[in-house]
Amino acid sequence: MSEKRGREAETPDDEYQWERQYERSWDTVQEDAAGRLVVGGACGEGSTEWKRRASARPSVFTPSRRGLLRHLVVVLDCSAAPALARDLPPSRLTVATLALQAFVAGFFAANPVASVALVAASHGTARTLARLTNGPRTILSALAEVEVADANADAEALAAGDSGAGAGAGRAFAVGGDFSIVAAVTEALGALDSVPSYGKKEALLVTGSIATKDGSDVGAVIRSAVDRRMLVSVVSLAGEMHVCKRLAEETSGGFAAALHAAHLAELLEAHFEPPELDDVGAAGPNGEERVPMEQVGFPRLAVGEAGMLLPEHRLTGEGFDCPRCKCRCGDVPSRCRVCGLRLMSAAHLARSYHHIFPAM
Amino acid sequence: MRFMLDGLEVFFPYDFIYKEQYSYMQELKKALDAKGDCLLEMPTGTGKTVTLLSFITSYQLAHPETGKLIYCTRTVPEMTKAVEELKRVVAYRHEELRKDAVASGSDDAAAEATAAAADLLGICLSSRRNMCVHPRVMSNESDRERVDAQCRSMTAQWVRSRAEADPSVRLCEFFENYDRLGTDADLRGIYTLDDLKAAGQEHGWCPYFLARHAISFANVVVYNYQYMLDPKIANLVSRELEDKSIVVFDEAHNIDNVCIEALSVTLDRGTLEGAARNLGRLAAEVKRLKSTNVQRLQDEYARLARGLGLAAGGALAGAHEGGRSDAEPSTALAAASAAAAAAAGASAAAAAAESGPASDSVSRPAQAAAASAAGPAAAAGGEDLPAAPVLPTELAEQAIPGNIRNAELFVRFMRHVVRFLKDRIKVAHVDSETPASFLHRMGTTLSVDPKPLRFAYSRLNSLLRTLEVTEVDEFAPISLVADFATLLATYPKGFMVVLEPFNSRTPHIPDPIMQLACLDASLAVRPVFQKFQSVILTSGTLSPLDMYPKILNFHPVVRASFEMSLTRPCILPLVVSRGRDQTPLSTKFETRDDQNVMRNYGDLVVQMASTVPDGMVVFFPSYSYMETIITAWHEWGVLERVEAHKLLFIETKDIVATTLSLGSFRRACDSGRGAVFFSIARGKVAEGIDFDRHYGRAVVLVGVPFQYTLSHVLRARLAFMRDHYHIREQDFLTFDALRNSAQCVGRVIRSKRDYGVMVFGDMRYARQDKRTKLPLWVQQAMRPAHLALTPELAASVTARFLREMAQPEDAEAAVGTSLLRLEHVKSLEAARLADEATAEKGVAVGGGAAGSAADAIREALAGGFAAEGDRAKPGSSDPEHAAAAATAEAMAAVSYPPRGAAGATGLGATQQSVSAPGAFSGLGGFLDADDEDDEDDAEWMHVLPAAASSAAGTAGVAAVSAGASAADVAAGEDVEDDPGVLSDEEALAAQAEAEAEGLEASSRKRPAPEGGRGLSAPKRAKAAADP
Repeated sequence: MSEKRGREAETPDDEYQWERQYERSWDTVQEDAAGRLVVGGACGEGSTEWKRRASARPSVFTPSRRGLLRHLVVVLDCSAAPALARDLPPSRLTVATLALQAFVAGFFAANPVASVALVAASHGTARTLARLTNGPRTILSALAEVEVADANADAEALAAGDSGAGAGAGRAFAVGGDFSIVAAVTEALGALDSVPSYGKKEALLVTGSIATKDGSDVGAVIRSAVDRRMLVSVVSLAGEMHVCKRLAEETSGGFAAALHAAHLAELLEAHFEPPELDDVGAAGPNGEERVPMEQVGFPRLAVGEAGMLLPEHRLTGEGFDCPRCKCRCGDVPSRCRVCGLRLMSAAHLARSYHHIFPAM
Repeated sequence: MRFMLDGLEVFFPYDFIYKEQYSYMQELKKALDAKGDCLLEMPTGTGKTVTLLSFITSYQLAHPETGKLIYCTRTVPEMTKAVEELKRVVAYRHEELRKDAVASGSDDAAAEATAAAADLLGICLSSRRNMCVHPRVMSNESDRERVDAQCRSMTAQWVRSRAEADPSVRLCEFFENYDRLGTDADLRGIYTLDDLKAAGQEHGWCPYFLARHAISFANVVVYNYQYMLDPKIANLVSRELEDKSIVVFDEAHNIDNVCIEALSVTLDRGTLEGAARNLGRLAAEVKRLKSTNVQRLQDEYARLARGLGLAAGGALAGAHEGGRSDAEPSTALAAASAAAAAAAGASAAAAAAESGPASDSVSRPAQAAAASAAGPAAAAGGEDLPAAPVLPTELAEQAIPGNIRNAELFVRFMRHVVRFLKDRIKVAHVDSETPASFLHRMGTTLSVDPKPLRFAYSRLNSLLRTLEVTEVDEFAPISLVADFATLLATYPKGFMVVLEPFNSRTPHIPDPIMQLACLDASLAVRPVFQKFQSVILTSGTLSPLDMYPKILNFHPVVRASFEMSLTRPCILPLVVSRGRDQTPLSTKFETRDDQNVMRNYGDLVVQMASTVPDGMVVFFPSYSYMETIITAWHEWGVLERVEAHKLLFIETKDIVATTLSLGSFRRACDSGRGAVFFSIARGKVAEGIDFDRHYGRAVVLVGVPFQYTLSHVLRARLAFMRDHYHIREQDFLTFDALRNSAQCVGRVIRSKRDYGVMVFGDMRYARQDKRTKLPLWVQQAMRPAHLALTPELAASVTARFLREMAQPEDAEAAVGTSLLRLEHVKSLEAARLADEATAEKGVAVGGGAAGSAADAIREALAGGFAAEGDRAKPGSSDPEHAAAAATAEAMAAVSYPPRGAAGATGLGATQQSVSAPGAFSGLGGFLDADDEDDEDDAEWMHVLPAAASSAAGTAGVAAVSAGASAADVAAGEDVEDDPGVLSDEEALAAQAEAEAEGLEASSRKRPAPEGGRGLSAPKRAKAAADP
């Protein structure tokens, strides 16, 4: 894996020279109005076009309200199509997995109080590889699992269609089969089921397929995502697929198509910033305030003399005491196992606030 | 926005205008100013319709003497779309005019009135089937085909007179209401079909007859091609339109086929049997009438003896008959409904055409049948006589010959004819004959003079009318035969009788058919060009532009092809020439059945299907090849591999099945499953169905869709064109194949924001002669690197393209490059005005050392020569030519030949030419122009050294010779005589005019709007020369 990363470092923001389109460099020489020869001009942009656009993003700070308590489900398309497509070497799935590993680490750095889950879609179904968690550890290990499955997948078997490794509940996760957007969104909704109403529900679908094979109506599942106020953003490695774009637009997420690995990383990074709360002040269906206050506790670090058994059955030398019920827990940010109070440190909160008050 | 274009104020309902729209308007203006015809190609999705409508209505406003705008479309949805655009244009104009009036000090009400005074009446006309609001007629869904018949059974004149006596006869209350009140209705505004229907419901007026009535005073009329081109219909509907009207044929790339279909008739055995039965019934009816009301038959005889009811078409005959019954107000009434009911015939034919773009031979017989079914149908309307199927110029002025004037004799005569045809159709081999030899044989076999055949159609209609036949559609067969006979006897040239023992659909069961094939597309369209002031042919695919004037035999003053100005390359044309194993991919006859080729085509489709998301279309050259290749693919498992990525849908000959599969195709695309549609390049889908947005991200052309070259009709047509229009067979076939290819690939992109991949799967597309015949906007996007790809490479290029196109659009980048704002347009106009002013100043000083003008010319000359390079041969490199080339910077290249043939042929690379009107009117004119050109060339040669030495001097000389040539043209056009017929003062006046224009043209240096010197100078000269 490190080898792959190393390769990427050589050409950080673009593909290899031999993978590039044949460039007629003499065509980029143009004559300007004064008769001088200029290299570049309109036709020389090509694949660096996205950079120019990205940098053109306005940097003006506009006050807004953003949901900091984010609950994000990363849905990764692990079907046969992205595993086989070689246009992003070594394959779309590998590129996506690598990019997501970087993304998850960066995401928690930028959003310390957020929680993330990971869902993998393959064989026409989707399954949760990691439940909502406040730290990158489980997510990264789940992504590593995908990587292993990707490496183990037999290209011949994938190409031949269903290899018989159906994603049964008890069986090991396997790459391949068809991608189903209905299954993916349904699973993401399920993973976010426990999120309280004040939390922002988000899903980030990273897909590399050109089609989705569903057993039921796509429109219905999009409507249910809208109804349950889940925002779905889609990053596609295979160009624009109509239904993905529709899903993103109707749930007021964003649709983006990646040009290459570096662009993919960039597109994912765009999700570091929490989405704006467009429904601020709007009353919910039961008349309650949409953005209610949330109680937060700042626990005190307690260093025990001997090992302590934490509620999550872990033996540790140090922990945090919940300021309300004095229960001990292992990590912050987290939620108190006993009284349900959200526990975090002041530093976490401060880091989250920079989305609202950016350092100018 | 509202802007000045070459001195004309244009109301354009959007805030931005595409650059090509602006150039398009400039070319339109030249054509309209010159009162000539034009041929304009602009890519689909660049807003052709709104450009046309907004410009021409603005032109009408500025030049009130201009007649109607007649906008011909192919289908009802296109019609509706055009009218919706028109609404927007007019609403915008209304608002602007109102603001003007307020600004000039009038109060709100007055302002409103001023604005309203300039409002247009725009209507569209379609068949009764689409317009009827009668609940009983329309409730009968299954029987909608019979709407025309039902309508007639309630509105025919004799039915109505019967109803006066017998109240149990049912009449159409909508028609009665319309007849009482609707004719005086003050119509204002723009009406779509639905609007007309709503208005009809509201007032209780028949929308169909209302529209028919309103045509005479509407400003904009939108209707189907048939109403203009099919002589049976056009003689009734479009006859009364004023000559100064502007006729627009939108999507005109298939206009030659429409023209040919309008004049072709196909008979088979069933028709002839039916005709025989019809004749039996007619004989019985005549007998019955003879015993009950012999007076009617005698009246008819007398009328025919007087020679009425032939030339003038329905209205005249109807009026006469109405007058016969009594000199009551019913005269006018009868005339009105005569015209109306006859138009119903027209509408049935139009409906047939509208139900699907009729281009393939499959639908042709059906359409012909429908068209002629409409004929007698209209006839049964009592007093209405549909026009003969021949062109106005061919209409016989004489009375019907004596031997068929008597009803019984006529029926007997037709029996002989039908019997002869039944004999003749029994052929074992394919046979073809010229009309003359066919007639001769018929004459000798039957021992009759073939002359009465010319009147068969009119005579039959007269008889049906006299007999007051109500079951109109049952007389379709005999009417078809009469149609056949009339055309056969009227046209000795340009037609061919082709007899084939087998029907194309069932090639093994003997089912002989007899076709009277029209070979000359210019026949049907000639009256249109002759009658109307300006005829505009426009489409997204008209390349190569010089073919249409040849096959339609007309002389456009402007022909232009516009590129697409784009901020991003939204189309990706790829030529896949070789398979993975280097097998050349081609559907040419020798290799098409090669398994390797088919396998590689399969590979291409699989590769594309696994790369392209959502919808994709594959076009095959013919049904038979599609069947062969699909069978083979099925055996090899290719289809299975395609289905792993996409669902598969296939076009069939059955329209209902095809519609269903199209519906499912769309659902599959909507739901993200993705789908492939297998279709025929010459089928209905290729012509009329859009695969825009996600419904078509890629189109794959399997092979070049050449016509079936062994078809006898086609071969006859090719031979005809070779002999008469000097078009080589191969040239026409290539042209025809490539316009079909262009249509197919054009399906995927319907707007600039759309994007799509176009895969040309045949190595022949890479060849220069094929590639350059594709529309300019496709050529422009074709990169040299993409001319010889393998399927895999094509897929990888496609994947990259799709990812790039999925990036968010940068709307702002388009402004100024492809989108023009008001200020851009204004600056263009200002530049033109400035140039004009400089030029005028130059003239005022007398062509002396006028600094600015001379400078401008010098610059233009220098730039021109540099740009022209070797293209500027001494013969054609007059200063204007060069100057024009200098202006070609952003616009499509424009070149002004001195005029006439020499200039036009010298164009070569430039896609656009402006030739003087009438410089070659007919072959004689052509030769004349050529002669004069020689003289001119001498003059230009003489001028050239002067240009080098003194630019200012050149201006003077150039202007003088421009004037001279203008005078020549005027003379050549009007009297085809010596220029000496112009008196000296007139020549001087013309020269002065031309001088100003000429200078303006030569001193242009920026891409300023072209003044159209080549056009307006001769035109004005002509105006001056006219007594």
